[in-house]
Amino acid sequence: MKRIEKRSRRLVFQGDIMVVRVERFPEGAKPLTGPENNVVAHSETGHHHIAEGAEVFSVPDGMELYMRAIGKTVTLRHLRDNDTHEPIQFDAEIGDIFKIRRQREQAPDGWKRVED
Amino acid sequence: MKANPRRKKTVTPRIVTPTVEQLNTNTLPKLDIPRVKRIEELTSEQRELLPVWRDEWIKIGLCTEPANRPLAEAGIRACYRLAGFAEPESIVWCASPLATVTEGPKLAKAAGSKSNLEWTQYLGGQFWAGGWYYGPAGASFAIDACGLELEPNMELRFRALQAVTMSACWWWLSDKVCTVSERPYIISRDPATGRLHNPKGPAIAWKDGFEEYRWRGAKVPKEWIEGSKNLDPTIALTHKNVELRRIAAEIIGWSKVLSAVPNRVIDTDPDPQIGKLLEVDLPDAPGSRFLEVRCGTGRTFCLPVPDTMKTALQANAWTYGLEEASDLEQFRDYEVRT
Repeated sequence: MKRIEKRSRRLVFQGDIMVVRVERFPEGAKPLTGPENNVVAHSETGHHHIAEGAEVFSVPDGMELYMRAIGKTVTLRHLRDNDTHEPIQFDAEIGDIFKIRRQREQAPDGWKRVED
Repeated sequence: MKANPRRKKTVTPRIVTPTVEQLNTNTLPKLDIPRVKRIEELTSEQRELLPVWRDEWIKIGLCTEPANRPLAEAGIRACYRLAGFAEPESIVWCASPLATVTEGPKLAKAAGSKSNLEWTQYLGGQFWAGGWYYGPAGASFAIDACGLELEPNMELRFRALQAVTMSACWWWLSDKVCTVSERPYIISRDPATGRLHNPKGPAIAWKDGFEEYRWRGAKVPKEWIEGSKNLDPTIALTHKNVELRRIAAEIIGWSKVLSAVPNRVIDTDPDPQIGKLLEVDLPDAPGSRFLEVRCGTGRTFCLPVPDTMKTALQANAWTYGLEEASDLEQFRDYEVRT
């Protein structure tokens, strides 16, 4: 488990997602609902990245999600039993906001989200 | 309960297998070790048996010998009886698990079954040796290794399920018909991880042709394995799924992929997690740029990036939507990549 201090504003990566602490939500952020409301990166092959200790919000930009801490730590976990990306725990205050960005790649018609 | 020290020295516990006759007559096999009503704590001898039991039951789960049909059938009939049902009118052997769940419902329907005929009405046989509460491995340790004595009807039920688990693969159940699968004749695994893996053929296969091709656990197209010599190296750069792209590169070998297509290294970053920027002349797309990059788990991936990229750092930052020159410093100075 990697721990990230509260004061860090540097970029953090877990596999194909990038996380950074930000000050506020963009407009149009909506909390995710349903059984996968803690999934921050959906995987076609079934190994999602999930958030613990945070609410996850979608925004109009489909490549981004936001998390808001509901406790003193927010943990990102990669749900796979092999070649697992190590969990990352952010020290946080309730209400701290994090931006999550998925990785993309060039595609014939522009670019697309990296599928895994 | 005080163990008899003389017996303890001479008797090594073993997995006790019920006989067909015992199953048919609801008789429990005798154990050579003392029985106890309750286990509070394992003795050091019992602890030493844990890995022995684990390995034995893994062997049962991975067995590729032909099924022990008489024992499986006696076990199945005993399971029905002990659960309070009539024995099935017929037990039909199938070549694979797929056949049990496709043939079973048809045969049961024809026999006038009143059961739920969904394909999901199966039990895993050898594949359910361990794991969840119904895997016999755990009960086998408690009873055969530690001498735990269950209420007789419960112990008979365990022996019946154990018999099927030890002698066959999947079985599909209904009131009239039970279909049972032969064991696979190939199970090939990656020794380091235990995951299904075979670079030369199917990783698991049954005699009716039901088979799976796997590369370190990931499902791959048959032709990637059977025709790996003729596999088009550009697939490692162009397949739509990045995980399969990586696997194709692993099967073909990165050096072969890159030597098969004209390419130039444009930039190599000192940080392997930032990567290497390549220019590759794909047959239908000369001058395509790729970022070859190592992820936090140590595996190498290859991502197509725009042709305008000049450095690996710029290309890697682009994949996360960072396109301004002012972003690059922050991008290099990351906190952690796992």
